[in-house]
Amino acid sequence: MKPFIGVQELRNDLRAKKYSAVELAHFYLDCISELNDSINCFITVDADRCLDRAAAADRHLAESDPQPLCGIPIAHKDLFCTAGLRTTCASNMLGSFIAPYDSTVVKQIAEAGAVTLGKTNMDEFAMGSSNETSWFGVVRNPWNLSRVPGGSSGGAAASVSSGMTPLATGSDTGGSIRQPASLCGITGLKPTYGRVSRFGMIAFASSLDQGGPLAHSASDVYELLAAMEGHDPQDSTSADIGKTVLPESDRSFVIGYPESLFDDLDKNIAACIERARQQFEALGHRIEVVELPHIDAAIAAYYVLSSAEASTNLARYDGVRYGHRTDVSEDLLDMYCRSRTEGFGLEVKRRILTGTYSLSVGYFDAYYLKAQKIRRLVRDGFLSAFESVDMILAPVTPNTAFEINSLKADPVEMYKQDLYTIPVSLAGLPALALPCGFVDDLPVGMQLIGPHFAEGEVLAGGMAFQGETDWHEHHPSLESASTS
Amino acid sequence: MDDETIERLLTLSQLSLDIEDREKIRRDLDAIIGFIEIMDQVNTEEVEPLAHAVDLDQPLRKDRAVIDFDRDVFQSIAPKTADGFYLVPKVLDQN
Repeated sequence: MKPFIGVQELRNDLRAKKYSAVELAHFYLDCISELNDSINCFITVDADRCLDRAAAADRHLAESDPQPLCGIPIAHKDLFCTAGLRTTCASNMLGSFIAPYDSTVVKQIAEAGAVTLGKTNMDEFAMGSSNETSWFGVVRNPWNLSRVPGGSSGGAAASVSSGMTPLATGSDTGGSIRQPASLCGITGLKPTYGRVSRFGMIAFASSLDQGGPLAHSASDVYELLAAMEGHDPQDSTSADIGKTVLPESDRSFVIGYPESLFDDLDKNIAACIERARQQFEALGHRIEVVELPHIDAAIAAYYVLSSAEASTNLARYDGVRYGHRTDVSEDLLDMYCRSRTEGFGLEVKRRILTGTYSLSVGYFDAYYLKAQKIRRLVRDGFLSAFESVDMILAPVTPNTAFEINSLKADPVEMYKQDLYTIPVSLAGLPALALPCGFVDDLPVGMQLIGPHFAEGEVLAGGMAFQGETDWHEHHPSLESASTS
Repeated sequence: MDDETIERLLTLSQLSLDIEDREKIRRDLDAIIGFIEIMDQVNTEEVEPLAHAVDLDQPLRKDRAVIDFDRDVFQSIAPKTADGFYLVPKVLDQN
């Protein structure tokens, strides 16, 4: 057995009985034991139940028609509720919270036969771009342990990148799947808003949050998306539009190239994406220059809208029904205030206060309503571009993985990390982030952005690229991470 | 951002901050508000606000009563309960 195996090979090996699901689960649990102390991807490892479920998978594998992901291990971001297993959202507020039910994503993936290894670290309540705001400590980038893995799905990306799991779930509000996938050298998809159910996924900004898959390749991302997606009557924003379908493999696409996005981009990163652009042309796809207006204002609009939604969503944490409650309080209001003050970290408080400010009397029109109008302009800019192209090729991050603590003190500089991912989120579009090179031994990613519900097309574009390149097959050496 | 505004936001948010964090948050909020004012450079006259990016009908479930949770299970994760009720500190002064 070896790490970094794709879903198809794992499935074939399990069905050919090269090894059992229990042996496979032991292999990944051993990887976690060896590496997690250094990288800190997992908040909770669920070893006993994982092995029980692997044993059940082995029984299914003995039957004639096992489920598509039968016996294949997976890690869930720690904001997907898991019945009987704590779901912390990387916050002291939910440090011992055990949900009474599974989120739809977790339920569907279990029904597809995958075996849960545990819950991955993240920025607290998914608020961050570096995985430095977790109550459970910073996650380290497997490519260089002094660097961040990105965020907020930093634990998910680092766990796949380091070979602790072949598949992971994440969530993306302003780039939280794509940015860590890029900084860790793996592939991740932010689906169209509404493609994947949000039921049981702890809310940050409800009009933007979207669950999605992370894996080594676009092909594996597609396999996991197939298990995650689908209409859910328990989520009123869930779309009833059927499964993702891949187009014919020989289809050539018109790919939009937003030249102005590259003006201020690091030239080494731009060179990696330029090389990818040429590769797409060599594959028979046509490149067309497109304009995407209002990108700079999009970040500002995003922080107004997401903070406003966060301030209302996080009002539910009052120390009454679940979550942290202070030990000492004088009366009900004092109990609310102390519980919330003790339960939330500083970044979460900053976002609640920003959101409260933009929603308060006298500022609503200037900030919140203005941001909603800019959101329309940004979305319409994309829709206009998609009248002439099938998808858009763009950067994911302005730089490679940065040093831990280097941006933590400056929230505005940290927010600018999401310059290229946020407009896509405001527009609710699907986007696949995938590796396309290295700068100074650190991975570089690019994203393929599609029209609403065109996951099949962007995945096909990613699969075609990965069929001709091997950037997704590079893995970190992990010598300094191993504790054995 | 003055003391009064910070205090009002903290009250509305049911949060408190020690002196050190309060100063840091004040600096951060000033920087964030300065940053988001870049929105003023965009002409949004006659633009309708957009709440959700995807135009989809919101399908409603049938208006039918269902029992999909057990009160005891949900209350088992609450900090304090008694006899099926959530317990909180006193709300009204008994005098």
